[in-house]
Amino acid sequence: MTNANPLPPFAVTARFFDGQSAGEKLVRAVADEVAGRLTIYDEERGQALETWPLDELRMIRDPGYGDGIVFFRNGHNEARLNVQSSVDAAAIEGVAPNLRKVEIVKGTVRKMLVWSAAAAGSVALILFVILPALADNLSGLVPIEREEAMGRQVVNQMERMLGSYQGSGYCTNEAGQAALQKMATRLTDQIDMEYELKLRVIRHPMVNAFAAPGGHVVVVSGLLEKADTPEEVAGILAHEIGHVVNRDPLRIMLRAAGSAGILSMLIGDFAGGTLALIVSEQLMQASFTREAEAAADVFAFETLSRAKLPTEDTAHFFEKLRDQYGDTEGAMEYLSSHPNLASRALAARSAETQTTGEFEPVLSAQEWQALRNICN
Amino acid sequence: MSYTDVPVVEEDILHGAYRGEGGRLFWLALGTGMLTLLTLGFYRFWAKTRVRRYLWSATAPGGNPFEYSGTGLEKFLGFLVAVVILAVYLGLLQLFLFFLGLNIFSTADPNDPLAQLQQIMLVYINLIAVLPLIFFAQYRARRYILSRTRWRGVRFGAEKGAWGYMFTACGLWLASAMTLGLLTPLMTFYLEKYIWDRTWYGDAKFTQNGSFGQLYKAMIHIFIPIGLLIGAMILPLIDESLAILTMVLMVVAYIWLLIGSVYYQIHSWRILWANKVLGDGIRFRSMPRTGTVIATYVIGMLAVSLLSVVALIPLGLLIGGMGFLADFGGSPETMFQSAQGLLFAGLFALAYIFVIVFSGALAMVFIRQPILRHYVEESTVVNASQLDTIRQRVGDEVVDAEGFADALDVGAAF
Repeated sequence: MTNANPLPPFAVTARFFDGQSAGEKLVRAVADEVAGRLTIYDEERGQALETWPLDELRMIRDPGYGDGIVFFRNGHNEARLNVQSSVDAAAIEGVAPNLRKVEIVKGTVRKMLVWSAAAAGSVALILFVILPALADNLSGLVPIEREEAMGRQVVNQMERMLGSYQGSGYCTNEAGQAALQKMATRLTDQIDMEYELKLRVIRHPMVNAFAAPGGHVVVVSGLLEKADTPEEVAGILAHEIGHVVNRDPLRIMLRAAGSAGILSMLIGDFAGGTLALIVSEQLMQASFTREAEAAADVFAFETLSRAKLPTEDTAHFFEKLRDQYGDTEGAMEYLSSHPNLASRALAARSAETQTTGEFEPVLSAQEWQALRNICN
Repeated sequence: MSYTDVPVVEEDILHGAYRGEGGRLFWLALGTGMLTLLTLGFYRFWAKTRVRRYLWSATAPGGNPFEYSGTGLEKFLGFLVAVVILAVYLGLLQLFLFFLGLNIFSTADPNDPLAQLQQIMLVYINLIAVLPLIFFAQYRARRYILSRTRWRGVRFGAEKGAWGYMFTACGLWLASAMTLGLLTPLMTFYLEKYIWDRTWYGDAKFTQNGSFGQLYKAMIHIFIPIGLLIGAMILPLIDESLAILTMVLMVVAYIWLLIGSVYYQIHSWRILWANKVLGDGIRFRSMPRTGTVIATYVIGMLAVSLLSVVALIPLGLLIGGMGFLADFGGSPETMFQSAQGLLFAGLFALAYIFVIVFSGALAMVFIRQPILRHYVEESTVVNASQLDTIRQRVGDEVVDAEGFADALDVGAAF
C-alpha cells in the first residue's frame, strides 16, 4: 500500500495457534507498516514466534461476527492469529493491503477445462447417443396393448388440460367422426399399419394436432376452424399418422424419462431451478422431436401422393399459420419442437405430385361441413 | 431426563459460543442467492461455500472460531467429476425403470387401486435404486467438509470409507424398514458409530461408545402415539358410538408422532454425544431441547411467511399496475404476442424468483441460524485442557469434494 504517512508501529493482543498443535498461546502482535511486517511475540516469554510480511497477510473472509477476525500468512503454514477486538482487527486491516486476495492454485484452469470437457462429453454421450439408441430399441419391446393404455392416459390428460378452457372435452358428433375416419382411411389404405388408429377431436381454440403412444391421434378443433379445405386437414392428419407409424411418441417418452434425471442433476435446486429445468427440458425435447417432425413431414407428403391428394393445401396451411403467428426464427427456432414453417411449406410444394389440379376430394362438401361442425 | 452421564463440572470446560448476527447472514444469503440466479445456477457452489464459511466462523467454542477453508472452485470441480459418472448411471437407470414400469405395471384404468399401488411401488423402486448412491455421497461430502474444517489451527478429518458406509447404511436401513421402524435405534447408533469412529481432530480420534439399546429411551414419544393409534382403531370395534373419540385420538396421535420424531432426533443426539470421546478423555455435553427447537421452527416459519407476504405487496402493486396499463384482453394466448405482455410475464417470473430467494435468506436467519445457535450454545467440551496436546494431522486430498452430494442434491443443511 502506498501510504504517504505510514502509521507508527502498534501492538495488539491476540490468541495464536501455531498450526502444529491445538494449544492456545496469548501473544502480542506488533504491526510495523514501515518495515512491512507483523511480528508475533509470546506474551509470557517475550520471544518472537513468527514474523509475517504484511502483504502476505490474509483474513478468513465472510466472518460470522464483527468482533474477532482470524488472520494467517498466505501459503506459509497453518498458523492462525485470532484478534478478538474489532478495533485491533480494523487497525491491522488498515496496514495489510492484500487481506482478501485469493490466489488460484496453478493448474486449476487446466483441471477445470479437462473436467468440464469430460462432464460435457459424458452428458452429451448419454443424452444424444446412448439414450436415443436405447429408446429406439426398447420401444420395440413394449407390447402394443401397454402402449395403447399409456396413450389413452396421455390423451385423457390432454383432454382435462384443454377441456377446462370452455368446460367441454371430446367432440363426439357422429357425422363429423365418420368424416374424420373416412379421411384417415383414404390416407392409410396403402400403408401397412401396426396400430389401429384411434381418432378424437378435442374442443379448444388452439390450432394443433398431436399423436400419443399406441395409435392415438387427437385433432384440436381450432385446427378444423383454421383450415379452408379438407385437404389441409388431411395433410396435418398424414403428418400425425407419420408419428404413429414411426412410434415417435413412445420413443420420445422413453428418451425423456432417461434425460429428466440428468437435467435436474445438472441444474440443481437453486431458486428458479424449476423454471430453468422446464426451459432446458423443452430444449432437449425440441431437439429430439425436430428430427422426428421432419421425418413425419416427409411421410405425410408421400402418403398424400399415394392417396392421390395434393400437397399444395398443406403448404398453404403452413403459410397461413406463418402469416398469423409469425415464424420461429433465429434463437427461438431451437426452442420450438417443429421446423420453421416457411421451409415446411417449401418442402410441401416441392413434393407435389398432383400437378393437374384435378383430384378426387378427400371429403364431400357435406362431409367437410360435418367435420367442421363436429364440436357444435 | 438428562440422558447423559457426563459430569456437570465447572472446571476445565469450554462452552459452545455462537456469535452469528442475523443482519450479516441475511445480506450474505440474499446476495449469494441473487448471484446464483443471475448466473443461472453456476454460482451455487460459491454461494454455499460462503454461507458455510460464515456459519463456521460464527461458531466459536471458548472464543476460538471454526474455520471453513473449502472453496467454491473445489466444489464446482467435484460436481463436474460426479457428473461424468452419474450422468450415465442416472440416465440408464431411469430409462430402464420407466421401461420396466411400462411393461410390468401400467393398466388401462388410472383409477384402479392396483394400478395406483403399482405406481407407488415404482416410485419406491426408483428411490431404492438411488439410495445407495445417496449414502455414498453423504459420506464423501462429510469427509470433504471435515478436511476443510479447522479449529484452533488444527484440521478435522475422516478416514476413507464411503463404500463401507454405503453397505452398512443399506443393511441397517433395510433392517429398520423390515421391522417397521422398530430397529431405527440400531440404524441410528451404528451409522453414527461408523462415522465417528473414523473421524479425527488433528491426531486425536473420536470414539463412539454406548449401545443402541440406550436410544430406545428417546423413542418413547414415538411408541406412545403409535399405541394411541392402535387403541383408536380398536375402539370402534368395541362400541360404534366411539367413532368420534377415534377421530380425536387419531389427530392427537398424529401431532404427538410429529413432535415425537423431533424428540427422537434431539434426544438420540444427546445420548450419542454423551458417549463420544475424543482422544483419551475429552468428553462432550450437548443438551438441545425439543421445545426450543420446535418453538424456534414454528415462530421462524411464521416470521418468514409474514415477511415474504409483506415483500410481495409492493411487487403485487407494481404488477397489478402494469397489467392495468397493458390491458391485453386477459387471454394467456395473446399475452405472449405483445411486447407489454412479454415484459409483464418477465417481470412476474422475476418477482416470483426474487421472493423465493428472499424467503430462503429469511429462513436462514429465522430458522436455521437460531437452531444452530441453540445446539452450539447448549454444548460443552469437558476436559478441554487436553486439547492442547492434540497435534496437526496430515492433509486429506478429496478430489471430488461434495460433487456426488451436490449432483444428487443431498448435501447437508448448510
